[in-house]
Amino acid sequence: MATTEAQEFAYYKDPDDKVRPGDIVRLSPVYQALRLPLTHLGAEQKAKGDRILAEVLGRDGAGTVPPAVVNGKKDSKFVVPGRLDYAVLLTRGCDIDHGRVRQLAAIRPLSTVQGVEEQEAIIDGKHLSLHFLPPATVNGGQLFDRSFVDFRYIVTLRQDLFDSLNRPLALTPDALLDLYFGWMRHTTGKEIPPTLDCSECGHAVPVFEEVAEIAAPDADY
Amino acid sequence: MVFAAMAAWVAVLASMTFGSSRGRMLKATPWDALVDLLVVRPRVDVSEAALSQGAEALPQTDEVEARLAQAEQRWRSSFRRRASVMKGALRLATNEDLPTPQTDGDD
Repeated sequence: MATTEAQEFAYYKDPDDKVRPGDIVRLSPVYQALRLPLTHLGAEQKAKGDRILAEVLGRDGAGTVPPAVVNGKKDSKFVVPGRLDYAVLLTRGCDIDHGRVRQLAAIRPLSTVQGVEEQEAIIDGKHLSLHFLPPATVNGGQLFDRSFVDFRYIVTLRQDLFDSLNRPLALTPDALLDLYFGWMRHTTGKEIPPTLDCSECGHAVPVFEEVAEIAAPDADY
Repeated sequence: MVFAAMAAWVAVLASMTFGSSRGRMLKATPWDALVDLLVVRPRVDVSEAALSQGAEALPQTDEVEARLAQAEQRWRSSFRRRASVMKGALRLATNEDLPTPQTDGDD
């Protein structure tokens, strides 16, 4: 049973058999940003002992990148720094059912952010690129401590690679909506404030309650 | 779907500002001022370098834990409200009868 620290607060759940958006996976490739010099791998060659060798291209002291690659006429293979870490599936249902690729966002420990003020700022939603995740446990053991989804680092995996990853946990429907809401804040640079002052009477208008009354919650996601 | 939801979200804001009966009292709010209200400006150093240093450098003392626990409690309290807003936006995104912002005077 997947739970948060407070049982009454349902942010995580056990994953369904079917892959769903909001599934959390272990050991997903998570890339760092590319930097200069952009490094390529040349053509693979078989060597002794059935080893496969490939030449590094584009760095000082390395081989030259073919003109067709430099001019964008031919595909290449890039050397990308990264690690295997937790990630959350962003791809929605229809694309999961019919698409061959899945998009995931990196999950990082909150403790990697320097300073308690900065960590509080992330929890309070003051950084639009970072979406807070509460601690999560699986079968009584902690899966990860306070963390955050880093929308700046999205990785695309083919279905076969994604399906090979372990899915120990998933977001509840409400938590998934919260994640998508955070993603929209990241892409638009805007957020809805909890209250707005009425320009006529000056009273604070509770935005969330007003919007919640517009439509009853839909159980299906 | 996400972009449709985003459009609905904007429609919700516009409706609250200019159209809906409850939001009608906000209609005099200039749109630019409203947008300015919604902007949150980042102030956290979350560069790759800072994150990689933080992974090794930050001790989690009792005082730090207490402050983070308080922040997390605030976050938990606001979670339900955020979820309600998003559900409303998604419902509007899948409804053909989206509210139309009224920006040309009294209705």
